[in-house]
Amino acid sequence: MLSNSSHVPKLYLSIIDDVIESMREVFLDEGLEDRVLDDLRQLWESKIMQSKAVDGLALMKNTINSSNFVLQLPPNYGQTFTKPAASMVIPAGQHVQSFTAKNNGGTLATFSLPPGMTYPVQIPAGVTLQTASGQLYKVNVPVMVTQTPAGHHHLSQAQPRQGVPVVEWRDPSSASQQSATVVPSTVLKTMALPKTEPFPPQPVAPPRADPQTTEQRSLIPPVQPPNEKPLLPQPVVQPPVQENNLVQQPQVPSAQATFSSQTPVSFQPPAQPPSHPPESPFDSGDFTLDGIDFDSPQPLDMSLSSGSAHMPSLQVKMETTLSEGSGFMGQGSEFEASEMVKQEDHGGAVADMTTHLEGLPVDATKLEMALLKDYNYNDALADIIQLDGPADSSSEEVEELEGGAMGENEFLGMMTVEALQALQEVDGSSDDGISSSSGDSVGMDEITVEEDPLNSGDDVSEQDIPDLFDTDNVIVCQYDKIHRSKNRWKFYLKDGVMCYGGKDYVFSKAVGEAEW
Amino acid sequence: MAYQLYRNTTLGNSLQESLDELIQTQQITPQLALQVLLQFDKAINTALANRVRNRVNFKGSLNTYRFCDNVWTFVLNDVEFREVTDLVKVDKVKIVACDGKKTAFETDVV
Repeated sequence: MLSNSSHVPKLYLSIIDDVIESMREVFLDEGLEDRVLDDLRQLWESKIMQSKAVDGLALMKNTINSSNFVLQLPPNYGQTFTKPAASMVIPAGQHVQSFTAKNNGGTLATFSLPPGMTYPVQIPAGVTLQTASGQLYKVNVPVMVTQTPAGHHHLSQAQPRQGVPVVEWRDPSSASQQSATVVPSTVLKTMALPKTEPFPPQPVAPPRADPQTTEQRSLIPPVQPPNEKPLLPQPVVQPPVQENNLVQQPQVPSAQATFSSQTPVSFQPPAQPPSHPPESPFDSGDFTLDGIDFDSPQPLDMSLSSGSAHMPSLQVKMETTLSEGSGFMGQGSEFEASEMVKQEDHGGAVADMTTHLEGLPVDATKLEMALLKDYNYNDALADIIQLDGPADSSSEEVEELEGGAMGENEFLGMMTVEALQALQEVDGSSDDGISSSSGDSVGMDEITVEEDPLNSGDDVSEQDIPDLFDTDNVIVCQYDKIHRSKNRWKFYLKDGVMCYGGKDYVFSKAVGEAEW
Repeated sequence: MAYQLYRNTTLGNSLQESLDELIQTQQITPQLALQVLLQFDKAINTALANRVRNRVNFKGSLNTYRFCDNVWTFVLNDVEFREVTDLVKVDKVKIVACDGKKTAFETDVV
């Protein structure tokens, strides 16, 4: 293990050096600053580190000048702290008791890395950093301290960098807004969050400190100048939706986004879309539609009582919707008065229906009302009828009805005699799952599902191929010679990079044998 | 021009990701990123040819083989990789190999 694993980081470093140096001129020609090239290098190296495919420490040896990183804290930072956590765990297995630190005037906390530590440094959650004067800073969210070449340049960025999460230092003593800049040459990035959070935190604009103070602690490039509004709204959309207990009324950015280790991460989105938009446009109507399933008269009565007074408006509604509808969502109905509704001509049917309604006995009228309402609802929702695909298998006369009739058996609605007959025909003629399906589109889906296995029976190794070639253990190389006799294969390879078991290896020559 | 084969390695992928990030933040142009990748291809080809001097043996069973466009792709199972010092076993490994003969590649270059 020694020979290869010690070669690899050095080799990678040399490759990185080569590439970066040879691109330096090109970058300058493009008018880009050195900073960009160095950014690229940092990103590149940090990703290699993260992949843990290479011995990280060796990789980062020669990239830093100072081993200090400084946290600049606002002057009102509290002095009381929780008791220190256990000793910090640093990557590569080195345990460090504490960072030594110099405390300058209470506003700066400098942490120097102990010898042997190099950037980037991972600081897992729950770790407490201690300054020389005994002040403790607790890290609630795993952070990674990396080094950037420039100092305050990132202060001017107003936009959070995509995908870069921000972490807040928790102030155990107060919930006031905390922010501090990391000076001069370090950038803190959050790692994957602890499991209490369903999502990694989106870039969160740091909450405002006192507006007049210029000292802000922002832990990543999205450092905002004090007067700007936080950019919280967009990024922090997802987590609060999940964390229902934390969704609160939009508030001023006070006490926002303080990570606390006791509770799940509390995001306070300043402006959250309501997490429950109105369920359906019909709920806000004069009557409530209890879903689409009307199996008994009882729900009808409930809705009828509220809706019966609004018959005229209902009729008007019916006209408009019926005229739009191209067909019927045939709804299984136990209502025998459906003969009155003709579905071929909706425009004309409207008049028919209204007159019929007036002439009916009261009970029938009520039922019809409910059905009409329901029809209204469904029709508006389902103007488009699927006439092809699985619905296409039967004869033409039932085509028009099939799309709706098939899947909607359960639903109460208007059905003509023709529709009923058609359904019966359909049930008789096609046995492959069209009839008596439950639910809307499940009927359709069942048909497709049944047909697909038939077609895909020809394909033997369909599942093999994508899975087979999807592996993390990859060797990328060149071949000198590939030899086969009968089923014995011999490989003569060269100049390869291997990755297996999560680690990287290289070779100049490789010889292998395999039997097929 | 060198093989772009090595872009799908840890080193190459991390470079591509970093370049993508810079492109997204509009710090570099895609054209420039492409230049970087081409430079990477050259650098890694040279480095592997000149700076690596070790030998590996392996043995396993061949699951699939494919030869297309002068590129061999194998999937091996239950492979043992043996270097001078140590031995590593893996269940499944994919080998992608381009033609190692010098002339083969260079003739393709227009």
